[in-house]
Amino acid sequence: MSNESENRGEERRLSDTYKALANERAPDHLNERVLRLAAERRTPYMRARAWMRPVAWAATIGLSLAIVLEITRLPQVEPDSISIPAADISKARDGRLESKDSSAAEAKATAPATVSPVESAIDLKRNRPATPTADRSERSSKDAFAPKDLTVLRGGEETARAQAGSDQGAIASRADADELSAERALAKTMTPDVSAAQPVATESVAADNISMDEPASEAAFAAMTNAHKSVSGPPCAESVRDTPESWIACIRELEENGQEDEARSQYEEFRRVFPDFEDRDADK
Amino acid sequence: MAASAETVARPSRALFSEVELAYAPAMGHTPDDSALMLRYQDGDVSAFETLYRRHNDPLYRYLLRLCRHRDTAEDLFQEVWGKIVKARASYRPTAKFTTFLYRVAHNCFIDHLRRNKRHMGGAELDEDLQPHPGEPPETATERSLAKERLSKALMELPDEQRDVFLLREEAGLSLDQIALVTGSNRETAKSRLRYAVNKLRAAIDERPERQ
Repeated sequence: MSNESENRGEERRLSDTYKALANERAPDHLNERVLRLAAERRTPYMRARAWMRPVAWAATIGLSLAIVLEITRLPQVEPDSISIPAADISKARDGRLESKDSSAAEAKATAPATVSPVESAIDLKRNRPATPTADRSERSSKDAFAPKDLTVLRGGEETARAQAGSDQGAIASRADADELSAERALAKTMTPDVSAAQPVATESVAADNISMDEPASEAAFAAMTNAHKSVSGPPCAESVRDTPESWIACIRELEENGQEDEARSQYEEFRRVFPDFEDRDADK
Repeated sequence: MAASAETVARPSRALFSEVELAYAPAMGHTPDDSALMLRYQDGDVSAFETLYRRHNDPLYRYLLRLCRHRDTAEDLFQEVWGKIVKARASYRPTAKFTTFLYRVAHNCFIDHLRRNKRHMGGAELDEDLQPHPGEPPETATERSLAKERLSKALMELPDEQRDVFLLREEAGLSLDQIALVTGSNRETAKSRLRYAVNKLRAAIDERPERQ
């Protein structure tokens, strides 16, 4: 312990002695030379102050974070959810309708004045797309855009059915009248039974009225057709509708008979059931 | 792994040093050597002048005692400061500036020895042995004799021991810093210093043969 303190004391004395000895100073000419050298070789431009560097770093990091946040907060736009303004949709729809109208007008201008329903249907079929689904969608869109045409067609169909029904009723009533006259003749030849013949007589009176009075029978025919209308089906029977050939033949018959509205409605119904049926005769 | 952590930590430390440097004058603190060097790196010549005034005399004495020749010491002195000025752009405050400065000076001296293998052996220094004003003649005589013996003992020390002693006395470096400057390990530096101190103490305590 004493040795350490003695050593420290002697080292301090040595240090003091050295400091007393070493009192030289750097010569002034050396100082001037070194300082001039330092001034000459200094950086020609004042670089950014030290406090500017952390500020610049902070600004850079802040801007980067802001950009990253801006990018990450943007909503994910899916292709399906891209919204088109309603005005554009209506414009596109109008343009499509106009093009359809113009094409229809051109078709009308080029077509002959009187076109049968079958021919028009064939024309429609030629202009129709190949796929039935597209045809259905187009048809549904047509129905949606032209409800008045559909109701008019349905009205025409009903009137045509009514007319056809009345004609068939008239034929049936005439056959019934013939049967009644035959029965009356038979009753005259046989012994008359008043009790039994009474209903026959009433019927015969009615039959006479029918058979004898032809113009008046039209009212009765109309009444009967009204009764038949509810019973009778479409102009082409269900059995006819089973095969496309028989159905299309029925439609042709309607067209030949002058029942164009009926034929048209039947053809439309036919096309709903048999959209892919190729009518070679119509094509010819 | 530790090395990577150290490399990561260094820039942040440098950054804080630069911040300290920026606010040091406003806060009334004396800027340290590294801060002054960084200011000179930024083009502030006055910072370099302050730095130079702090270290010019000790460095001059270190080189003067190390070389034992005034002209050589002056040449080395200019060379050392020239290298400091030149290294300003690449300077990083990773160590104490004094260590950096005296390492440059030590290397310059080693290069000088290699260039001039037959370096000055004779003592050319004319020590100031004039008595201080008001000092008693006996004390002045004893002090001048001690200084003369110390100066002579210093000149006779081996270069390595003298170098270590001067680094401790002039630069005020610790053993670790001395080892860093001289490129040796701590124990070597400590051994050299102990040998140097013992020889110099013996020279001071030596009685005059005439008495």
